[in-house]
This record gives sequence, C-alpha cells and structure tokens, in this order.
Amino acid sequence: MSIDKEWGNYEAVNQILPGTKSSLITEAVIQLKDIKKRYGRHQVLNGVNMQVNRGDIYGLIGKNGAGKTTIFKMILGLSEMNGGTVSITGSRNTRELLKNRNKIGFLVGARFYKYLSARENLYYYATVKGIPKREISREIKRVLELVELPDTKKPFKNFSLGMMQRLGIANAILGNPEILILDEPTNGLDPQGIADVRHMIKRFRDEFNMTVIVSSHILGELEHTADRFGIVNEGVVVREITQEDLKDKHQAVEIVIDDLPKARELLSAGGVQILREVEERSSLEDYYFNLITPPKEEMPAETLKKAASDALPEEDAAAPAEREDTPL
Amino acid sequence: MRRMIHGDLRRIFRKPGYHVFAAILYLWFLFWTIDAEPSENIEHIHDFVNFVGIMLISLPVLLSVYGDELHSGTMQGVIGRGLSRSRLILGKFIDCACLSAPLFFGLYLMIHFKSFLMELVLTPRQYEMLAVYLALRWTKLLIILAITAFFILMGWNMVVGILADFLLIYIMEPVLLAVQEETHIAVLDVSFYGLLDRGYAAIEAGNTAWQLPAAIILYICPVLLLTAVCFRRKELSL
Ligand SMILES: Nc1ncnc2c1ncn2[C@@H]1O[C@H](COP(=O)(O)OP(=O)(O)OP(=O)(O)O)[C@@H](O)[C@H]1O
Ligand SMILES: [Mg+2]
Repeated sequence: MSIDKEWGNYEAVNQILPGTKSSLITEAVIQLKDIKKRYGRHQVLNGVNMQVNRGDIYGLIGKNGAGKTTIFKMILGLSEMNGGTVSITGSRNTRELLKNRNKIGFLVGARFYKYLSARENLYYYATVKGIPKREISREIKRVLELVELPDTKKPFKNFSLGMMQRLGIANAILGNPEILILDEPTNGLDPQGIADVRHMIKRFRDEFNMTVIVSSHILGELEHTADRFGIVNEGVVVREITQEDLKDKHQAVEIVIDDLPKARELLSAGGVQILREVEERSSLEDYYFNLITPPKEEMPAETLKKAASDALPEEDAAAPAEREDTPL
Repeated sequence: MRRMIHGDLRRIFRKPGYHVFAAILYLWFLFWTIDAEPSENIEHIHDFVNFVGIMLISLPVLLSVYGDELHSGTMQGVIGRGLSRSRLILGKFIDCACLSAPLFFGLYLMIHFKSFLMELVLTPRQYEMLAVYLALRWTKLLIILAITAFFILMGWNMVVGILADFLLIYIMEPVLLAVQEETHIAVLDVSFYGLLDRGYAAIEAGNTAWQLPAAIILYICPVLLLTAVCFRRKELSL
C-alpha cells in the first residue's frame, strides 16, 4: 500500500485528545539540522530537521524502517553522521555535545550485561553516570519502584521481555536526567504494560520535569501521551505537528475488522486513506486499522463512521475507537 | 573514563569466571613440574609463565573486558552517555592492565608459596629477578592485548580476538625468529618480543633497560591510537 506518499497531504488526527501542555518559553533541548546518514548505498536519513523543546513529550512516529532508531543513534553518537549537526541543550561544539550527552537518559535496545541482576546492571550505569557512591543504592531502589520492577537476584538473561523493557526504562531515568529518549518502549509489553508505560512517561515529564522523546510505529499509541509529534518517513521528518493541529484539521480512527481485502476495497472506494494496518489483535482474524481521512469539512466524522461501518460486518466495526477502549 | 573503569572493575571482580581462571592458573602452577630439580626451578617458572600463564591470564581479561561488551551492547550505553570513543578505548586498555596485574602478582605470591612448600630456597636476587621477569611479561601481555583489542573492536567478533591472541602469544615470536635467522634482518630484535627480552637481559646485567620504554612507546601508543582512529567511524549495531 503506498500510503506513505500521502503523509505530506494529510495530517493524522484523533478526536479524543486531552489538553496540550503548552509553555510560553520554548527552549530547544535537542536540535537536529539536516542530518544525513547512509549505509552503503542506502540513504537512511535524508536531511532530518527536528526540534524538541524543554518540557515536551515528543512522539517520533514512523513505520518500521523509517529511521526512528537511526535518528536516536545520531543524537547519542552511536553512529557517525554523513552530514548535519546535532545540538543538545545548546551545545556548540563536539566537546560540549559530549558533555551534554550525560544529560540524556535513554532506552535504545537492551544494553545490559547478561549475567548481572537488575540491581548490578543499574549499579554499573550509575557508576558510569557519576552518581555518588553513597547515593547509588537509594537511587536504584527509587527507579526500580518507579518502573515497578522487583529487585530480584535473577540475571538479566533470564528476564522476560516486559522485565527487560522495564529495566531499560529504569536505566534511562537513573539519576533523573533532563532528557529522556525512549525507543519503542512498549515493544513486547502486554496491554497493562503499555498503559503503565504511557502513565510513566507523563509522570516523568510532569513530576520530574524531564523532556521526553518517545518513538512508536503507531500514532494511536502516543496520541494521548505526546503533545508534539514528528512524523518520519523514508528518512525525513516530513512534518512536526502538535496535538492542537491534530484536533483541528483532520481526523483519524482506528477500527477492528475481520475481512481484510473486503474492508480495503470498500474503504478506499469511500475515499478513506488507510494509514496503517496492524495484525496485532487477539485473534488471527482480527486486523487493526489506523485510518487517515480527508479533512473534516470534506468528510465529516459521521460520514466516515458510516463509510467504515458500511464496509464492515456490523459486529466487527467499531469506529471511531479509542485504543484503550478497544476490547483486546 | 575513570567512572567506566570503576564500573568495569567492580562488575568483573564480582564475576565468577575471572576467579575460576585465576584458580586454574594457580593450581596449574602448583602442579607444574612439581618434581623439578632445584637447579632448573627458575627456568621452569619462566616456561610456565610463557606457555601457560600468559594465555590463562589473557583469556579471562579479554572475555570479560571485551567479550561481555559484544554480547550486551553496554559499550553503546556508555558512549551514549557522552564518553568519547577514544577515551573508551583507553579505558578498556586500562581495564586490561588492572585485571591482569593482580593475576601476575598472585603468580608471584604462588612462587613464594610453592618454594616454601617444596622447601626450595631461592636467593633474594632470584626473587627480585623473578619479579622483574613477571613485570616484563605483564608488559608483553599488555602489548598483545592492545593489538588483540584492535581486532576485536574492528571485527566486532571475539573469535577473531582469541585467534589474534593465540598467534601473538605462541606463533609470532618463533616466526620472527625464523625470518631473522633466514634473512639476517633484525625483525625479532625490533619487535616488542625482542625489545622486552633484551630489556630483561640488560636489567639482569645491571644496565639501564632503554628497550622497555621503547617497547611501550613503539607498540602500545601507536596501536591504541590506530584503534581509536579506526573505531571512531565504526558502526555500532545492536
Ligand atoms: N547498521 C545498519 N546497516 C545497514 N542498514 C541499516 C543499519 N541500521 C539500520 N539500517 C537501515 O536503516 C533503515 C532505518 O532503520 P531504523 O532502525 O532507524 O528504523 P526504525 O524507524 O527504527 O524502524 P523500526 O520501527 O523497525 O524500529 C532501515 O532500512 C534499516 O534497514
Ligand atoms: Mg527502531
């Protein structure tokens, strides 16, 4: 499906959006200018421009392979750029950049020693981060409680996926960093876990004043959490939008259906752009749709709902649906 | 960098693997030519260090300093926190030095212990020269580890590293010797093997061993520098 080309024309949306936290003073904590990255002949990042302001929860949205992780690697210096500049809290040169990286806590892949327990792994990073020795124990206890990970003796290699993810988040918030980068933190989590992580993200910003950048391949997953979004497609941030933009201009719905080919056909006949299809429902027959529709004035929500429900067997259509409400 | 070394040493000293290797090293030494003639004793100790000791010390060091990193991605965790890559390389090298030194020192204590057990009396001068010998083997191992680290980090592969380690410990020196004898070009003499051996001879004869700083300056520094330069552009996956 060639929906990606349409990113430039449509803005994704949801009707149910909580108020956006806005601030009068905007200070860029992370600024990317024209970042380029090539792997061999494959141009992965194609001039990424992006700005994250203090206090933002910034959602980086893009499909698999869009370049989200690569963008994070550039910010963290894990991979060399082929052009462009990264600035963290106003850094002007490499020395300042390196120094300011210590203000970032991040979860990008699971980076732990397999034979060490959660506590031992956190101890290692706490030492690297320069947390004073006498405070380390207390700090580890604090972050483990925040992510609700039991302090077991189990080595990391025996962790479940959910535990790994929680330890990753615990490590990221170690020492209360100014900036938090979370690459698909809900990967592999159950619905309760996903809800927990969203709740945590808000808490990190609201209670601990962190600026959070979080990536996901589904807009729906972050629409209630983030207040600014960068939409990544084919190595470019094609657009930065706020929750207000989402609310005002367009609408998007998520629906669950069972007859995929039929639904595709009927929806496109009804003028509905399918943003994403996700096969991640509870049963094999279920598909999960994220739709992007024409602007509200051209297709009111009512018409959209009707088009969707016309397209779908009555009992399966649930449009528009808020994700948490969708039965799993 | 200091903090990373701190964290590394702490986790490695708590790792059973490191201590298991240490135990094997010491036990092996205790049973190494236990029935040797007293007059051959020193030679036997030298042989042990050269053929068994260096290998048994290099393995746990390589596996815990670099091997663990390749499998865990923690190196990226540290770089992402703002440690520059060249400092990381230097830090890891210092890790190696800090982890191998206690094993050599332990070996020195075992020499005392074994001679006590076997009622062998070594002269103070002999003990002194043994200490010098161990210190020089430690230096040799550090050069080998620096070169090995280059291969591990560039190839991002432990097998390559162990292979390089093996070649440098057992194969390289005889090969250089053969080449030197064949061609009369002093390849062995200018290699770190030759420099360190001549350094030892100089100390034994009571002369200044200029070969020692020469070996360090000629080998350790350039290798670390080369590693840092090459590693700067290395793509860190995982
Ligand atoms: N080390 C690498 N060597 C070669 N190509 C790479 C490398 N890392 C990433 N890529 C390519 O870069 C592109 C972007 O990858 P990236 O991991 O940034 O995507 P992503 O948006 O994080 O996707 P996902 O949602 O699957 O995590 C992909 O096409 C990927 O194949
Ligand atoms: Mg990714």
